[in-house]
Amino acid sequence: MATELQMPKNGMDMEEGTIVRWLKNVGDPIEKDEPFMEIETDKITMESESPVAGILLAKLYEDGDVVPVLTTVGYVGQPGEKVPTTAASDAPAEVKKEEVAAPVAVAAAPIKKLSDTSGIAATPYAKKLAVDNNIDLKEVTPTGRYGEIRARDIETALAALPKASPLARAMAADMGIDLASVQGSGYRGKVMAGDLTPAEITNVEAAVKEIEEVLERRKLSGMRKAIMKNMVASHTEIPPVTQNYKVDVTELLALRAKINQGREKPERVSVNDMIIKAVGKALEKFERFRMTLDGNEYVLHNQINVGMAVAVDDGLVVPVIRDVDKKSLTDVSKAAKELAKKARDGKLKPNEMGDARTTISNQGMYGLYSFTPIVNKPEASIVGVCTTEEELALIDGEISVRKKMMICVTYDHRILNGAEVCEFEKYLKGLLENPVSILI
Amino acid sequence: MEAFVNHMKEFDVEDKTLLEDKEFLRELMVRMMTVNKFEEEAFWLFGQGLVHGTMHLSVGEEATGVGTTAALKKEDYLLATHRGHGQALGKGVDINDMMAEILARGTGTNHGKGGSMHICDFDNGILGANGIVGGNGPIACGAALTIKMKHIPDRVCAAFFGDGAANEGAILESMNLAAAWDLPVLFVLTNNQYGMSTQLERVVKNQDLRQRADAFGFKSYECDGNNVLAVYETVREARDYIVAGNGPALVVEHTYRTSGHSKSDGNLYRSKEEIQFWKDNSPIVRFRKYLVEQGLFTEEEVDAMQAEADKKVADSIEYAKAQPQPVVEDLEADVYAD
Amino acid sequence: MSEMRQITYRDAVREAMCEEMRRDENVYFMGEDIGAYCGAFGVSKGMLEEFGPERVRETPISETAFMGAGVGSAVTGMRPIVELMFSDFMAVCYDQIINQAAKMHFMFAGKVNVPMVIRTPAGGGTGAAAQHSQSLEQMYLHVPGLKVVVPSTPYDAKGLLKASIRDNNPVVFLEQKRLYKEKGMVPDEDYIVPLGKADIKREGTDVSVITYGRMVQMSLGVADKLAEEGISVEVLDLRTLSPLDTDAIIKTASKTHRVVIVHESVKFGGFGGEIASTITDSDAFYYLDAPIKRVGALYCPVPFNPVLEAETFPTPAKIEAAIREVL
Repeated sequence: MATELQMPKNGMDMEEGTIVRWLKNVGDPIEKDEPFMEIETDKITMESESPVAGILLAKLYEDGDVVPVLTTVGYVGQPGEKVPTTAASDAPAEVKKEEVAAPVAVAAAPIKKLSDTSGIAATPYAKKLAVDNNIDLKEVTPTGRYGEIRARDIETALAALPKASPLARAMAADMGIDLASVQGSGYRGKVMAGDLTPAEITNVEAAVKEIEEVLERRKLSGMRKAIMKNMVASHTEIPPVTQNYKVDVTELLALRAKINQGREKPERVSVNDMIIKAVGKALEKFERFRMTLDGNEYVLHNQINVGMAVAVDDGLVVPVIRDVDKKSLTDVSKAAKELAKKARDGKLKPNEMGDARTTISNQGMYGLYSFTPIVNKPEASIVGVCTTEEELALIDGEISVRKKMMICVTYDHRILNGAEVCEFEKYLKGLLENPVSILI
Repeated sequence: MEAFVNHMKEFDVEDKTLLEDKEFLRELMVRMMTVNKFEEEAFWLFGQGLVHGTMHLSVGEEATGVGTTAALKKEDYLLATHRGHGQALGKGVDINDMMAEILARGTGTNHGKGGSMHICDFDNGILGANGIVGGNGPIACGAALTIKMKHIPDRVCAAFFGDGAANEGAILESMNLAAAWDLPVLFVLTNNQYGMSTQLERVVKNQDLRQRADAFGFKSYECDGNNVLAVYETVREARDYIVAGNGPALVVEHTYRTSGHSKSDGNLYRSKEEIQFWKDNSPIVRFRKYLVEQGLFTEEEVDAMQAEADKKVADSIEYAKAQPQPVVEDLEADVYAD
Repeated sequence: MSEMRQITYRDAVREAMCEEMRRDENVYFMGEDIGAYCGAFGVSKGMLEEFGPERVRETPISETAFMGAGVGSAVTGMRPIVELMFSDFMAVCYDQIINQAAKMHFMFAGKVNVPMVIRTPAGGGTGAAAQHSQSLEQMYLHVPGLKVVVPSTPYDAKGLLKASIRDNNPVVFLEQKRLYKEKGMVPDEDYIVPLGKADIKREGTDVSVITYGRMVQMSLGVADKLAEEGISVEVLDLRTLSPLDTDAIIKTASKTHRVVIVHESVKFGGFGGEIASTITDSDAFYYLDAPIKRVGALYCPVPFNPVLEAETFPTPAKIEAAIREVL
């Protein structure tokens, strides 16, 4: 039987060889181990030797052919022996590596959901997107294969929200504004920071600029946030006007001295207490000062409640003295002292604040001559009280020394008009200059 | 001990003309005394906590380092061992810079990054001392290859190694490579009879270490390593043989380390009597005796040599102590070359 | 305008050596059977004829001696290219590479350079079993003082080898056995590819495959396949592992938010861990939208049987599965 001559595999990385030339012709005798062809690999040229002795019966490839290793290139045998004719297209004796080494499919591991549900699992990028866009992760539906929130989930959540810039979103959250109620000026109605409040933008820009230069950044306390919110709202919503009247308080101070004669310090009445009582009287008389605005309606309130601005650490609170008209001066004084202490101790209860008709902001102790208080929404006005100064005055042709104090009333011009505020102030001035009327 | 005593011959010199150069003899003695004093002082500084890490002393082996390097030229390459203070000082490294390195100063030979085991001085051909036993053999072949490929005349590369390193594959491979390529490598085998604590006869069947060269087909020499003149003469001959283009040569220098292997050596593996014998026959003791007996120098003159060596070392300590510490900013500076 | 030619990775390596040897007479080539035999992988065909036995220097089978000879000649003015027949044999001459070559510049206070290239074929897939198939780059990478290069294309192989030969540090140049026959376009003109610069082999937006060596080609194949489904895979070829182009790693991770690291070496303790840390140590962490996945060889020696061997290494299927897992 004829013996196959093969393209040898000379080296672990040899995959094919070129027959440079045959060294024997068909019919030539060949000895065992005698070279029969010269081959070239991509490394080297070498001779290929016959495994047996015999006659070269057939050549299946020509000089110059490139042949895969282990492919039969010819046959050696006895004269007249038959040889297979289709060997050239036969697959190499060795099974092709690609076939045996076909990768075994890697079975997908069963997906185990995250077991710890106490926290929110989210990828770092998802968390970053959430922070950047002011999205609460708790409100995002996770679609990660382990139950985690992925970046795409934040994008989905964002798409569902009213369109807004990240800054606008952050500001709206702080200011308690529902973005859905804001008309956006950006592309396709996107709410921009400017759509919220122009003033706020200025503040934020100024704050950002300042932050760039300061050494420290401090988080806003809850109180500061509340103040900021209220003040911005007041400043941006209310058209304010401030009108000042100068009041002669010589008599008031004299009366106070009389009242306080023999009283222990905790029981002494202050000028502020007397002003509260006077303002209460004025509120009683001027109905429009007890109004608030609700959309297209004015709402009239009857209770004569007076707010009292108290400076505390890191802010300002406004406790309220209710039913001033029904309280004696002593009771008003007592209530005012109690509330001021609670305010400074941070112990005010929610029902001890709010629902005032107006607020008194007394800056007298700071030596202020005049200022522009800002209305504490939703009240219609605020009464600023300044310091007491001695002045020379002509009374009945006589020069005398009088004690004078400025009262500065800022009001919401949507509710009140200048003339009625003048009337209010004149009335108040009258009460303070004729203090016995406060007591009646 | 016996094996070595056979190698210790009566102190003499073949080339009597050497005795005519009194300055040369004086220089050999001062260098040996300097090496000895350097190590003694370094050891003392170590004890004081001024030297940290470890160091390997070669007290008793001064003739090998000094005698060998005296027969080398400045341009010859040298690869020293971890026990290389004498090899480095002999080849010409600045004693001040070397003491500064021992004290880990920023201006030491290695800027405080090498220490006792890695003293280098490329200006004097010292391609660095090696902390890996036998690790310098292959590198010596490479330096010798440069000499050969660049056809540099009259230059060899000497590699010191001990009887311990003689059993390292790296040394044996290097001997074969140097022989196969006819490289100008001078293999200097200082047989101090112990690899740390391990006596030669316990770990080597054929203790005739000269035959290592025979096995690889190159020439070998042998000498009494405690006779500095014998060492000098032998190495000079071997060097001449190499630079004549004959390939490598091996010189076996028989000596003895009277100091411990390192600071932590308790000398539990040898007797006090043995150590004392070698102290009495140290290279310095024997050379001194010879110089005086031959009428070449008086006792006083030799004492003056000792005083000179002592001063050099004392000055180097003063210098080194005044040197700055390296700065941390430079720590990673030399990891890569530009 | 220079002409571009298509040549094999093997030819590119040889061209780089020949051109540098012609350019600088201090450059010489040393290794086992690199002369008439042309090296175990036929890389040095024709070099002995051109440069002669002094500069194409055949060594005894004595890796420690000739590796050290490379070091010794490098510190005295030569620029040796030392061929280690298989990268696995580094274990035989570890001391000369790790304790000697890598340390000398630092230990000797920058007073000496070791300009030396250790060229060695690495990787498996050739049926050569456990001692001739490893990818041991991480063992070199852990040694400060060595540079480590793993080229993936003929262009990179030539440019990086020329840069390595001109570099003044010991460079371990890990050629990829299975890529020797791969062809690619290489310009006629002299050029180098600087060490320390990664290369984006394919731009993408959905996921980054960070890889090197043979795995670059495999990853590109997977990327092609996934592109048909609309999955856009970026393939970053690190090319040089030390110095490492950390900027490129951080950039691609930040860009696609999803990272799969692929290397042929064993995954456990492999370089992929360092790449992953490079990302999570940086700002790119905040841009990750999935855990970083690593695909590497199994924790076992490379087996002989071809089916077992193929399963030991990363496969296109494993890379694809890892990509799908992070999407």
